[in-house]
Amino acid sequence: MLKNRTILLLLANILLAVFIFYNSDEEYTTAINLNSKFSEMISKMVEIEISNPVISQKIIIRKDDMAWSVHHPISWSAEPVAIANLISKLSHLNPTFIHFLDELEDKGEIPQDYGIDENSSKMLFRGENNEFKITLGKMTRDSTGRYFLFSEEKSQSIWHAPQQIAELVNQPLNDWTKLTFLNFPLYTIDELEVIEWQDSNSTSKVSLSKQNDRWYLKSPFNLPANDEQVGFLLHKLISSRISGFAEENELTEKARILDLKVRASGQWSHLIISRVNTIDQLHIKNTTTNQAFYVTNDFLSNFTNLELNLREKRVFNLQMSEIKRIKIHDNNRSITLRKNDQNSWNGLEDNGSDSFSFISDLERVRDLVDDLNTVKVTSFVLFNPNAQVLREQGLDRPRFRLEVEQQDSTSHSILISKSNSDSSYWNTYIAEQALICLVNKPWDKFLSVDAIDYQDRNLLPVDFTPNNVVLKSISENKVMATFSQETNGEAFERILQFKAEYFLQHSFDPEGVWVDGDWLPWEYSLSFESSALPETAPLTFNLTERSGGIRWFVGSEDLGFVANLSIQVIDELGKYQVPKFSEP
Amino acid sequence: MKPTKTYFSKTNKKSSVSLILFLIFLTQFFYFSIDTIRIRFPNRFIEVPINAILPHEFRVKIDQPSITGLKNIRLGNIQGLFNGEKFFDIQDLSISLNPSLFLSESISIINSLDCSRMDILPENNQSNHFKLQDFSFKNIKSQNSSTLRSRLSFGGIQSYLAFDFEELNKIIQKRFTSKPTKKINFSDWINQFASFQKKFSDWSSKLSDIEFNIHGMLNHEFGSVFITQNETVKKDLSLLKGLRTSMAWHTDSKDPNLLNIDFQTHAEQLNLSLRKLSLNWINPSFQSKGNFDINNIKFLSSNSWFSYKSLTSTGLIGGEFPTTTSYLKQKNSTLKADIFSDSNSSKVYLSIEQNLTDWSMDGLIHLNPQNFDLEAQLLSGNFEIIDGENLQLNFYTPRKLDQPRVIKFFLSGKELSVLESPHGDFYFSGNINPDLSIDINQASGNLGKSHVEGSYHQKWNPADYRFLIEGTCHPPDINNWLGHWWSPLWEDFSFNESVSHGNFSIHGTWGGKPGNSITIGQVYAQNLKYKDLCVLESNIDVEVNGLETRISSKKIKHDFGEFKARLHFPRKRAKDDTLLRFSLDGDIPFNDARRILGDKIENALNDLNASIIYCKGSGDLKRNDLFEKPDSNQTTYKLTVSTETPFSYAGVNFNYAKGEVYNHEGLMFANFSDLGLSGGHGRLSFKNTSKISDRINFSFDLKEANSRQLFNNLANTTQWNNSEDGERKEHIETRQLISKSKEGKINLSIQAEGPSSDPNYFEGTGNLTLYDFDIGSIHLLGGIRKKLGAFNLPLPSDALNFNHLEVPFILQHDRILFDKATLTGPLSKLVGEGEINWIKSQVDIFADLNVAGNINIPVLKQIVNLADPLSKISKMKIFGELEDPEWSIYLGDNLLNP
Repeated sequence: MLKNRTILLLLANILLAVFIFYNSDEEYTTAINLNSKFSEMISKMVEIEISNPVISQKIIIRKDDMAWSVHHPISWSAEPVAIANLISKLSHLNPTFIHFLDELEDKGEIPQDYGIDENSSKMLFRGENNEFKITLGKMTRDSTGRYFLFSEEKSQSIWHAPQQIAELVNQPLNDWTKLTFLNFPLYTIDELEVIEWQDSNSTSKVSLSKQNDRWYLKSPFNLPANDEQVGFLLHKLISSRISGFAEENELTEKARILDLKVRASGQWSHLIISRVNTIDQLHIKNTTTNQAFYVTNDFLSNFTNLELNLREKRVFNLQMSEIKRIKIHDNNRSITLRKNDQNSWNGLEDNGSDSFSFISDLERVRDLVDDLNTVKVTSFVLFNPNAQVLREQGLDRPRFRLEVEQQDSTSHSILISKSNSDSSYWNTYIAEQALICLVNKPWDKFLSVDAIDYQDRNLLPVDFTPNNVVLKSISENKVMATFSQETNGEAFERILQFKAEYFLQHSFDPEGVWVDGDWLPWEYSLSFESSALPETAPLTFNLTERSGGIRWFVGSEDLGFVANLSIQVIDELGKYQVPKFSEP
Repeated sequence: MKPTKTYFSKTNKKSSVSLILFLIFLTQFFYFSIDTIRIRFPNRFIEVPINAILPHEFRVKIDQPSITGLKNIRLGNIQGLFNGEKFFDIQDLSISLNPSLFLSESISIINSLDCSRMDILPENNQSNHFKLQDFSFKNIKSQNSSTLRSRLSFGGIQSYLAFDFEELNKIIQKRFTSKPTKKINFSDWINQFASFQKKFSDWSSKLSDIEFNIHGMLNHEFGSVFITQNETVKKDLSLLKGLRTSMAWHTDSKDPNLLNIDFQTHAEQLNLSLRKLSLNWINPSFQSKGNFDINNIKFLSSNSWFSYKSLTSTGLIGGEFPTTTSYLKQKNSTLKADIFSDSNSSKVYLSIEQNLTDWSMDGLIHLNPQNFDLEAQLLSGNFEIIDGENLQLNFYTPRKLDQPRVIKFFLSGKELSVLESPHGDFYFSGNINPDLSIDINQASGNLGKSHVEGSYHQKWNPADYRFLIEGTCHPPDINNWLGHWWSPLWEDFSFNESVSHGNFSIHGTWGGKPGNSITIGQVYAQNLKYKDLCVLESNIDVEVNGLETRISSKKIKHDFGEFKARLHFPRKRAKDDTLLRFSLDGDIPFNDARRILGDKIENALNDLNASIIYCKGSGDLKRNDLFEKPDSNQTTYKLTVSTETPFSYAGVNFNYAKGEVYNHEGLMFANFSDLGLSGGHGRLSFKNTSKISDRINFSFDLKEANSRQLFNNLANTTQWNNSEDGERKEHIETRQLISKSKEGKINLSIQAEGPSSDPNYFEGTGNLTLYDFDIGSIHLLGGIRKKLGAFNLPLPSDALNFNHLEVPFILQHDRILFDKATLTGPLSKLVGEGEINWIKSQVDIFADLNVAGNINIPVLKQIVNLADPLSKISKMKIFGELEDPEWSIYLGDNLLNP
C-alpha cells in the first residue's frame, strides 16, 4: 500500500514537474514559427546562395566583415540596397504554414503539386551555426502568393508567402551587384592620371592634382586646370556604370587603349581600359582585383581632347590689389588706368592727337577687372603661331590691344580682333601662353577707351564739405528746397552723395542739353554752399526737369560736363520737384 | 529521548519518503498555483512609486494593475500625463519578468514586454498621430539577444518594425547610462514633438496609404537598418514607389564616440505634390557617408550625393527637367555642394561653398532651350517655357581676401524666347552679395520690337526690389509674361512700326503692404491709337504710388492739334472718393477722345458731337457720385471751352461756341457767351437747379438766325427724335415748317426750366420774332392767303402779304400760349391769341384781321373802304390739326363760306 502510494506520489510529482516545465518555457511553444527563424537567421547570416537551375545560374553572396560581396559567378561588391531589400522583406515575409512535407503523402499530394521540383529556384541561407533553404514553388490559385518549401536540418514544410518572395529569388545578377566601379566620394579624389596607349606603347599622358581645392594640370603642361571641366570628368567617372562582367579566365583579344589612375583618400586605383575586338564594349580591369568588367564605348568620350578640355579657360585671374596698370588700345586711341600711391586710380585718354587726364572711378575700374576675369576661351585655335598665322587671323593689326601690368612686374598682353568666320567671336592672342583662341564675350562692349566711362562719378570735390544745399527754380527764381544737416538729416546726407550715374558729355551749354533728340532746358539750380569757405562762391549745378524714372540731367559750367544723376540723388530731389504743368 | 526523536524512531522510512514526495508535490503545486493565479491590486500601489521617480511634470495613471505568478505584471491601460495633458496612452501593457535575474543587468529582468497599442500625444491631433500597435519585446536568454516587433503608424503611413539586438545590455550601458550634461527641458521637447507631429500630419494627410518594412540589427559596436516599401499595398502612386534603404554604422576604431555611418536610399519613383505642381522623380538615389559625433549629436564630416534618372513635372510647369547629380561635402562648419547635369538640353556645373562667414558660387548653367520640353500652364493659356538657341549663366566668385566675397554672375541668351515671347537676345550681369541681396547692374534684352536696358536690385528682409529700366517697349511682346491682366490693357491700343520708348523706376517690397510699389517713368510714343484717338506724338509721365496713379503729358499731338493733360486716379485703397482729378489745356479731338474715359462718361457726353474743342480747365470727378448718388454729388470742375468748328449737341447743329462749363457741388453751370446757330448768333446759359434731378434752368437768346435752317435744325434734335410719340415724330419729320420759297430771319429768346431729358415739361417765357419772310413760306400762316383767296374777295394785291411776325409766348409743358401774336404786312395786320400744343399737334388761334390797318395813309384808307365788305372781315379762327387746320372766317358776325 505504502509502496503504491509512494509510486503514485512520485508519478504525480513527475507529471506536475513536466507540466510546469512545458508551461513555463514560452519560447518554444509554437511548433514552427518561421518569422522567428528568419529573424534568427538574418542576424547571424553569413552567406546567401541563390540558384536558378532553369538558366543555370548560381549566385553566392557572402558577408565579409561588415560588407556583403558577390562571390560567384563573379567577385564584386554587393549592392547594399539589394541586401537591404532582401533582409527587410525576409523579416516581414509572414508566410502561412500549409503542411509538413512528410504529411503530403498522407494527403495524397506530391511536392510537384506545389510547383516544387528539381528545376525550382532556390535560396539557401547560411548562418554561423545553421542553414535553411527556400525552394520556390508555383503561384497560388488566386495569383497573390507563392508556395515555397522551407527546408532545415530536421524538417521540411510547405508554406505560401506574398509574391515578392519570387522577385527576391529570381533577381538577376546585376541587381545584386554594385554597378559603379569607382566607389569613392567625389571630394576624396585628389589626383588623376590618364595614359593613352597605342600598339602597346604609351603615347600621351595627362595628369592632374588638387591643391587647396583647386585643380592643376601637371602633364603635359604645368598650368591651372579648369575646375568645372575637371569636376565634370570626375562626376562622369564615378557615376559611370558597368554594363556587364567578364567571365573568369575569359580569353578575348583585347587592345589596351587607356590607363586611368585615380587617387582618392590617399589610395590609388588603377584601371586598365582595353578595346575588345569581338564586342562593342570596353574591357576594364582594376589592377588590384581579379574581376574585370565592361562599360559601353561612350566611356571613352570622357577622355577625348583631355588636355585641352581640362585646361583653364579663364583668360585672367586678376586681383585688384595686385594690378598696377591697365592700358587698352582701340585702333589708334587708348586709355590708361594707373593705380597711384594712395591706392586710387588715375586715367589718361589719348586719341592720337590730344590727351586728357582724369581721376578714375574705383568702381568702374573694379567692374572692368571683374569683366576681364570672366573672359573665357571658347575654343583653343593654335599654340605658338608664327607671324604669318597672326596676320591671317587679323592679329597683326588688332582692333584692341590690352596690357595689364601687375605689381610684381609681370604683365599680360592680349591682342584682339574680330573673327573672320563668325561675327560673334573674337580672335584673341594671349601672348604669355603664345595662344590664339576664340572668345565669344563681346570685348567691344566693355573695353572702352573713352574717359567718360572711367571718370570719377563723384561730382563734388573731395575736399569740399558743404553744409547747405539750395534747390531753386530758375525760371521763377524761387527756392524750392533747402537742405542742411540740422533740418534734413539723412536727406541732406543723401544729397551729399552727389554722384553721376554716367556722363553724357564733356561740354556745357548754359541753356540746356540735347538728349536723344530732345531739347531739355535747365529748369533748376542746385547750389552747394560751405560756411567753411564763405568767401568762395557756392558750387552750382544746373538741372533739367526730371525725365521719367531714371533720368535727371545735371550740368556744370565750372566743371564742364553734363551727366545723368545717380538714382539715389534723383530719389531725393524728386520729392521737391514741382511739375511745370499745374496740378489738377 | 526527545519526543520528536521518539516519534521518528517509530515511523517507517518509507513513510518518510512518501512524506517528502508529498511535500515536494505540495511545493510544486504551490509554485504552479502562484505562477498562474492573477492577483489584482490597487492602482495607487503602482502609480505612487512610478510617479515618485518621474520628473514632477510627468504623471501616470494606471488602470487595473495585476500580477500573475511572480513574473507577469499586467498594467492594463496606462495614461501618461504631462502637466495634466495626455502625453501617451498605452493599452494592454504586460511585462513578463525573470525573477531569477533581479540582481543582474536592468534589461535582463524583462522576459518580454507587450502592448496592443500606444498612442503618442493622441489629443493634439485626433486622427493623425504616432501609434505603435502590436508591440512586442522579447529577451532571448539562450542567444543573449532581444527582438522587438511592432507596427508604427501615422495616418496612412505604416511601418512594420523588426529589430534584433545583440547584447542589449551593452548597448544600453554604452549609449544611455551617461548622465545628461544639462537638464532636459521636457516641456520644450514635448512642444517640439507636438509641433513636428502637427506638421507631419498636415504633410501626410495628402498622401495615400503607404507601408514600409523596417528591419534593424544592432549591437553595441555596429548596427544596420534596412527599409523597404511594402509592394503589396497596390495603391496609386502617392509619395514613393519601390523604396529601398540601407543604413549601417559602426563605432570608429579610434574614437568610440564616433560612428561611421553609411546611408543609401533608392526608390523607383518619388512623387512630391505641391500646391500647383507635382514633381515625379524616377530612380532617385541618395547616398551619404559620414562621421557622427554621438555626444554632440552632429555630423563632423559627411560626403553625400543625390541623383535621379529623370524628373518630370505636371501642373503649373509640365515637362521633363534635365537630370542632375548633386554632391555635398560637409566638414565641421563648411559645406560644399557641386551640382552636375549633362544632357542634350543642359550642361550644368555649380560649385557652392559655405562657411560660417562667407559663401561662394562658381560654375555655369548652359541650356539648350530647343531641347527643352517644358510647358507653363497659365491663366492665359499653356506656353512653352523656353525656346531658342542658347542660354548661358555663369557664376564666378573672385577670391578677395580683404573683403566679403561677392558672387558675380552673367547671363546671356541668344535668340531666346520665354513663354513664347518673340525671340531675342538677352544679357544680364550682376552680383550676389554676402547678405544674398542681388544686384543686376547691367541688363539688356531684345525681343520682338522691344529693347530694354536697365538694372535690378533685390534685398531681403524685407524683400525690397527695384527695377531701373530704359528702352523701347511694344507691350504685346510681353503679353505672356505678365499674366492675363496685361494683354487686355493693350487691346484698345494699336501700334504701328515706331515703338514707344521710355524709362521707368519701379521699387517696392515683394509681399509688402498693398500699394507699396512706386513706379515713376516717362514714355515717348509716336503714331499710336488708343480707342479712337490717334496720337501722332506724345510724351507721357507716369507715376504710380500707393495713393494714386498720375499720368501727365505736356504734349499729346493728334490730327487736329495738340493738348496737354494731367490725370490723377486715386487708388481705391487710398479711401479717396475721387474717381479722377484732371487738368487739361489744348485742342481735344472730342469725338475721338470720348471713349477714353470710359463708358459712363462716354454715354454722358453722347449728345455732343464735335471733332475738336479747345478746352482748358481742371476738375475733380467723384467716385460713383456722378452716376449713382446724384444727391451727394461733390464733383467739381471748371472748363473754358471754345470751338470754331461746327458741332452738334443733341442733333442741333451749332456753328461755333465759346463759353465756360463748370460744376460746383454737383450742380453744373454753363455759360456760352457766344455761339453760332443756324446762321445766327446768340448766347446760351443753363444750370442745374437740383442735385437729385436733371432739372435745368436755361436762357437762350438768338439773333438773326436763318429761320428755315433753325427750324430744320430743331427738327433734327434728338429730343424730338427720341420721343415715344411715333405719330408726332413722323409728322415732324415729314412736314416742312418753312418752305424754301423765301427764308426769313428769326430772333428767339427763351427762358425756361424743366427736365433736360424731356422737353415736354419745360415752363418759361419767350419771344419769337420772324421777319423778312414770305408768308407762304410758313406752313401755318400760309393758310391765310390760301383760305381767303378762295373767297375771291376784292383785295388789294398786298392785302394778304405779311412779312413780320412777333410772338411773345409762354411755354407751359406742351403748350405754347400767346395773347398777342402780331403778324404784319405792307397793308394788313393780324393780331392773334391762342395756343399751340406742340405735343398733340393741335392749334387753336383767334385772330383779328385788320386789312390795311397797318397803314396810316389816308389815300390808302379810302381805297380800302372801297373794298367793302372787306372792312368787315375782322376775325378768323384757326383750329384743329396743326398739319391741316380748319379755318373759319367771319364777315362781321357771319361765318363766311367760300
